Formats: sequence, C-alpha cells, structure tokens
Amino acid sequence: MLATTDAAGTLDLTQAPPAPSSRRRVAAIARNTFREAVRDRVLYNLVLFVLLLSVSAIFLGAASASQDAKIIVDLGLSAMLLFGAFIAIFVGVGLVWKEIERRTLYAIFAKPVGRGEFLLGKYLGLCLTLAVNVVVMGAGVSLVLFYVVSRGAAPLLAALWLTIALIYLELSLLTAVALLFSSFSSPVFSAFGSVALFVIGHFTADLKGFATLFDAAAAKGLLLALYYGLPNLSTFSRITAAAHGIAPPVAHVLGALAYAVAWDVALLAAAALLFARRDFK
Amino acid sequence: MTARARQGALVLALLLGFAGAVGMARVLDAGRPTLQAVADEAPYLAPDTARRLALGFEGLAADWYWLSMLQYIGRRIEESRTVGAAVDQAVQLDRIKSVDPRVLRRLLDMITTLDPRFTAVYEFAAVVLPAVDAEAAITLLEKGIRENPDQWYLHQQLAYIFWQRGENLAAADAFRRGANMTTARWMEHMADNIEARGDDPQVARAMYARMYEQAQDEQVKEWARRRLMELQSLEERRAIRGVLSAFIKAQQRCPRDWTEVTAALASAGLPVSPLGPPLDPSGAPYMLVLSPLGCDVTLHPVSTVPRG
Repeated sequence: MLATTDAAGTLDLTQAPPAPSSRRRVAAIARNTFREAVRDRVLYNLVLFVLLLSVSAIFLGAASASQDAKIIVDLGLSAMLLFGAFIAIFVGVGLVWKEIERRTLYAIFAKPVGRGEFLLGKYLGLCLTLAVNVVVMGAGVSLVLFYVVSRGAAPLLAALWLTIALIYLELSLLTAVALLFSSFSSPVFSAFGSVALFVIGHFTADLKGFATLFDAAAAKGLLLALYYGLPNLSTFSRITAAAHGIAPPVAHVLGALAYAVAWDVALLAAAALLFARRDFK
Repeated sequence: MTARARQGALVLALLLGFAGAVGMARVLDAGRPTLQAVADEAPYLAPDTARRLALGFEGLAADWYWLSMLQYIGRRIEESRTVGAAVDQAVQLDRIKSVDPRVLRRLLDMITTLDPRFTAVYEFAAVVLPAVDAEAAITLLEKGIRENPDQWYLHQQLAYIFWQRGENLAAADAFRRGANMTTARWMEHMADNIEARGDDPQVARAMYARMYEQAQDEQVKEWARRRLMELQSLEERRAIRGVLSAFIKAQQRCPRDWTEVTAALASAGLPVSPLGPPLDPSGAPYMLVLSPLGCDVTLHPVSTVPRG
C-alpha cells in the first residue's frame, strides 16, 4: 500500500508506507534461510539416512540375535543427532559468513532490518530446517519399527518421539552456539569452536562430579563455574533408554525445554551483542 | 590435446590409480597378519572411559560391541566344529570352551557398562559365560540385577548359573530374591524344589521351560527349546528301554523290529509312527540297535535332538 486514507476519507499521499513489523521481518529472513538450505540440498542427508535405516532393517534381523528393534532405535536416533549436529554446526557457521562473502548483507542492512532481527531470523530458519529433518527422520524410524516389531511398538514409539524432542532441543542449542561463534569469527574457527563445545557439552556433567573431589574452595568454585558456564548436553541424551522403550519423564522434557530456551536466549543475545559491534566497512 | 582426449586420459588415470591402490592393498595385506586376529582382541578402552567418550552414543557403541561379540562367538563355534559333524549352534551355546575368557569377559563388561539396561546381554552371558568363567558370569548377573532392580527374571538367570554349578542353596536363594519382586508364585515353588531335590530331572525341565518362556534372545530361546527336547528324549528312551526289558523278559529274546513292541510303546504313552517306530521330540524315528549283547534304543542320524 502506497497511500493511506484517514477516517474522513481524505487521501494522504505524503505518508510513507508502514514498515513491516519486526516479527514479519524476522519471519521473512527465517523463510529465506529455510529456502536457501533446501536449495543448498541440505535435506539430501535424508536420503542417506533412509538408505542407512533400510539396509539396517534388512540385515540386522539376522545379525543382531533378536535385538533389531533396539539397534534400529539406537542407530536411527544416533544418526539423527549426528546428521543434525553436522547441519547445525556446518550450516550454522556459514549463515552469517555467506551473507558477508556474497555482500548480500549490505543489501539486507540497507533495509529497515536490525542486526538482532537478522540473527534471530537466521537462527529460526535453520531451526525450521532441522525440525523438518528430525520429523522426517523420526517418521522413517517409526516406519522401520513398525516393519520390525508389528505388535507392541507403541511404548517404543512414545519413547522415540519424546527422545526426538530432546534431540531437537540439543540441535537448537548447537545452532545458537554456531551462530554465536560465526557472529564474530571466521567459519573455520567457528566450526572448530562449535564441535569442541559439542564434545565438551557431553562431559560437563562430570565437572560437577569432579568438584566434589576437591577440598580447595577455589578449585571447587572453578569447576562449578565451568559446569554452569557451559551447556550440559547430556541433559538431552536419552537415546540409550529410548531403545529399551523407556520414555524420558514429561517433567524432564519440560525441564530440558526450559534449559534449552534459557541457553538459546543467552547465546543469541551474546551473538547479537557481538554482531552489533562488528564493523562491515 | 583435445578436451575429449584430456577427459579420456583423466578417466584412464583414475582407473589405473584405483586398480594400483587395490593391487597394493592386497600385496600389503599378504605381508601382515589377517584382521581376524585384531577382531578377536578384547576392547582396548576401559568400559567407563568408553562410556564417557561415547558423547551420547553409548547405546550405539553397545550395539557395536554386541554384534562383535556375536560374531566372535559364532566364529569360535565354526572353528571348533569337527569336520562332518553337523552340530547345532544353539545347542552348543553353553558348551563353548574355545572362546578366550578374557575377551568374552571384557566384551560383556563393555556392553553392560555402555548400556546397563541391555538385559538380553545378561541373559546371553548366563548361558555362554559359565562354560569358561562361572565366577565372571555370577559377577555380571549381579551387576545386571543392581542396574535393573525391576527385572525379576535376571534372578532366574543367576539361579540357573548356581544350579548348573550344583549350588542348589544359592540357586534357591536367587529364586526367592526374584520371587519377592513378582506376584508369580512359580519362583517360590522353584526355590522350594531346587532346595529339596536340585538334581531331579523335573527340576531341570521346569528350569529350561521357564528360561524358554522368558528368553528375549532368540538364540537363548532356541537353546532352551533344544535342552527341553533333550530332556524329553532322555525320558522317552528310559521308557522305551523299560518296554524292551519287558519284551525280553516275556519272549527271552530281543524284538526283531519295532512292530513287535508298537502296541506296548503306545500304551506306555510314547508317540509312535504308523510304520511302527517310536518318534523322538524332533519327529525322527528312534533306532532299534540289535547286537549280540542285546538290544537298545538310540537316536536316528537325522534326528535334531541334542546328543549330550
């Protein structure tokens, strides 16, 4: 709309068209990020995943001594986490860098788009890509389970989907980590940092245990600071239990959701702060 | 050089390079020990370290070691088979002596540390491990009970190990501990029976029947089924020998063939073929063995009943 009319019906041609709301701007960037991921064939990993599961379902029956359902859940969810982590980290670190490299960032910032909105849109776009990825993979694992255990698959499926929700939360957190690194450094360093944090994140639970071994307050304090200062990714690791049909308690899933949201907010805020200071001239 | 010739040269280089790499790999492999020796080694990492390093993929790592262990045992069974003897793998599960106890112990410990809820592993270990290291089997089952306090049937597996060793009191105790966790009264009865007469064939039959019913692992299930078959066949042969003795007492000679005792066998409750011979639990006919010393019954070569 190029002009507006007031209540009296007068046509005012001097008033500029209203800028889209912040929410719409973020949504537009998220949509474009998702489209770009699809164009870049990021979802092709699903083909590999389906192949892996199909071959496993056919051959595991004979080789695993009746443990095929357990192994399919282990394999499916582990592949989901691994593929998702690769996408979150390696696509995530390229989100900002590619816009700088192609100089499209200048065109975006020439429009009324804030740097924070840009980062949030990129984050949500990649989260949407990951959501599509995990839902399709989850559906694939469910179908294979139906094929392997036609009866009594319900408890296994309930455990499966609650665990998929936890995996998705972990991937959303990893995306925020990758975005934080990419907001101030090169893609190589960002990828290295994100992978390192993925590895360390699975050890942080041990830090709390180590802290109890020290008498010195300083050492104990340092270990506890590290524990609380780094995301504890083992909170989201319930794959092994899911393979036995043990669903994570709903209270745990809700707690993990709150934990992931808190970390996402903190990481995105830090990324926005660092990105705001970055000089693109 | 034209573009087409250059492309052809590159394809040729690719094929030659690949063929050279495969050829060299074969030459190098011929000069070093086969990979099988490596596969038969115990895991290098300590189980707790492996669990820490698994980064959330503990279940998958446990599955990997489980498949490795099955292959290791399968390979050992194949290697220990005598030429021409068609011995069933399921029957041999509790008699595999050729496995390296250290490798098997480490593999089982690794799997159950990575995934303590993998109960099929404890079940499998209860059958396979006692043949090479009964103490390790008991330790592993106790670990399984600690890690899975709600799985009452692990007590049954532990009781089986004790019963196999002739430790009937310990077996009865394991059954009673399991009985406290379930409303099924049969565990209590098993405890009483083992305590009173642990060596009775009826106790053995009940033990294998329960293991057959509870088994999650198809190999263990098949093994229990074959053990039940063996017990049933032993009882049938005892009954057939009774019929043969009665015939000899009456006729002062052995029967020339089964048809002479078919009616007596049938009245003793034994399954009999329309052609005369009694049938074993696998459906094969028993063989009547006639010798200058007398007559006896034995399994037919086509029978799949385990031969002890």
